[in-house]
Amino acid sequence: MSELRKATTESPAVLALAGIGFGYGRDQVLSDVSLQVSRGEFVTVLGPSGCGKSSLLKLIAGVVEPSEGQLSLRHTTAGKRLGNISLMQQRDLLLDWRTVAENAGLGLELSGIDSSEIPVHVKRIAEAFGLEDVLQRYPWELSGGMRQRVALMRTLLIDSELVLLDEPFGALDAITRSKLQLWLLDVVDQQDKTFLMVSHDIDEALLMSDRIVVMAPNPGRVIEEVVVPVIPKKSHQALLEPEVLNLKRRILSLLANQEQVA
Amino acid sequence: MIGREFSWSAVLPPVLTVVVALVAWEVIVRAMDVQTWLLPPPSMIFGELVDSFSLLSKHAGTTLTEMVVGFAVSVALGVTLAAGIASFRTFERSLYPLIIASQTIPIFTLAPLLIIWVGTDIMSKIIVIVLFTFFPIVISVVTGLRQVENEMVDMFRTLGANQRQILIKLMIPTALPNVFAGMKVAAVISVIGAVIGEWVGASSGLGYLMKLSGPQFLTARVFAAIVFLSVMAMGFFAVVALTERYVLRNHPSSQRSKGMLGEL
Repeated sequence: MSELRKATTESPAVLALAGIGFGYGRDQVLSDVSLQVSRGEFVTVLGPSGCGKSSLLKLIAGVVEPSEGQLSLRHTTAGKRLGNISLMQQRDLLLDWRTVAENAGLGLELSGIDSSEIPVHVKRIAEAFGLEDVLQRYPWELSGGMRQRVALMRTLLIDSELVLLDEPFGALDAITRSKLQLWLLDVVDQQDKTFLMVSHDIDEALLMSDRIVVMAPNPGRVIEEVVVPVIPKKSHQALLEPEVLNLKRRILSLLANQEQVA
Repeated sequence: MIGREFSWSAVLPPVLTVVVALVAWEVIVRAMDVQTWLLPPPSMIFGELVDSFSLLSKHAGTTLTEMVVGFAVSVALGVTLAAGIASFRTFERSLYPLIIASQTIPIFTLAPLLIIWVGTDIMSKIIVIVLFTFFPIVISVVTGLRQVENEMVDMFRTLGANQRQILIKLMIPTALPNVFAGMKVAAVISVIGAVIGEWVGASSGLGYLMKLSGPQFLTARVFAAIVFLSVMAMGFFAVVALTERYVLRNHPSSQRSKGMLGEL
């Protein structure tokens, strides 16, 4: 983690949830979820499938509204979340009839900025995403990993403080996934943004995050929060450090206990 | 792109089939000495096409005008109805079953009523064409609009899109291949609507000419009119298909498959 990111971990909360509940009809998806994310932090919500992780992100992004509880944001009123919080979903959701550049610039285009400025913004960050040579290609010409990077570029190009990532690499093969995880760490370091990711992959959570929020299903609720020790140089090798392995063991047993309870 | 390459192997079989059929027709009619008022040989029909070209063209102009205007009205009406059906549940519940039920009414039987109500001018033909062609358009556009995934809409919303932007930048482009599929069907059947409209009451048009020529046993002229109508329908289809190819040039559907025109 860069100095900048570490220094801001103690900053005021960008996002605060208190006693959030949510359900579809009679099905309670989330119950009494409380969590805070500070400025510059990378927090991962970890939990098994069906524990309401994706619903939680949709709710924070403003796609759906909570049935109970308080949701507050630092720079945005809770009612104006749509368009002010970036959300990258598990599927890349690229528009097949638009070029990579047009897909990446979609958020800017929708925000109504001068259309001649969009390519400038896109080009500015394309190199960091390794996409500078394919900006005029179409999504169906790209590999899964590239498509995912275009989706992330679209997500990060909109001017928002908080970025939500819904299992961003869940649909990729293991090798591409681990490459993209390291690459994302670099991108995250360069961005002055706050990240909240959901994942069911413990290694991914340990590698990427400053803090991990562990959730259990039926209904989705927070069971534990763990702080990830600061690893000087994050890599998959670092996941084998004793300190990290101990943490992994603890999280595994937390998740296993929940399964027994269920 | 494969579709743009002209391929003899695709063109030759149907052309040969037609040539063989025409030769067989010519030979059989001449060998059996069939009366020309009953079944003229292809050579006579071709002669009629040449001799009466200006007469046929004049009537074809009327029919083509009806087809184009009727088609345009049908597309506008069909797309609007489909947008309403796809967007509003009450609209869907109250209209969709009626639209489907309307197709069980033989439209031919409505034509005389239309003549009574709106007269024998172009309006009655346009209404008949619209009745024939709006159904495939509504059905295909509704199908297209329903292909828009909720996740896509959510993605647009999180990027701050309003309803208008979602419609223009997501719904319409997603539905376009289906819109064109419906339009291609409508283009071909618009000729049926025009002829039926003219058959019941008109003062010009190829349907009117055929109705006039039949009782006079000008059978070659009836066939010549059929050839004209068929060429017009194919031409209209080709115009829509080429427009589709241009509009959807970046759409994956036009890149991955050859499309109907590619088969020609």
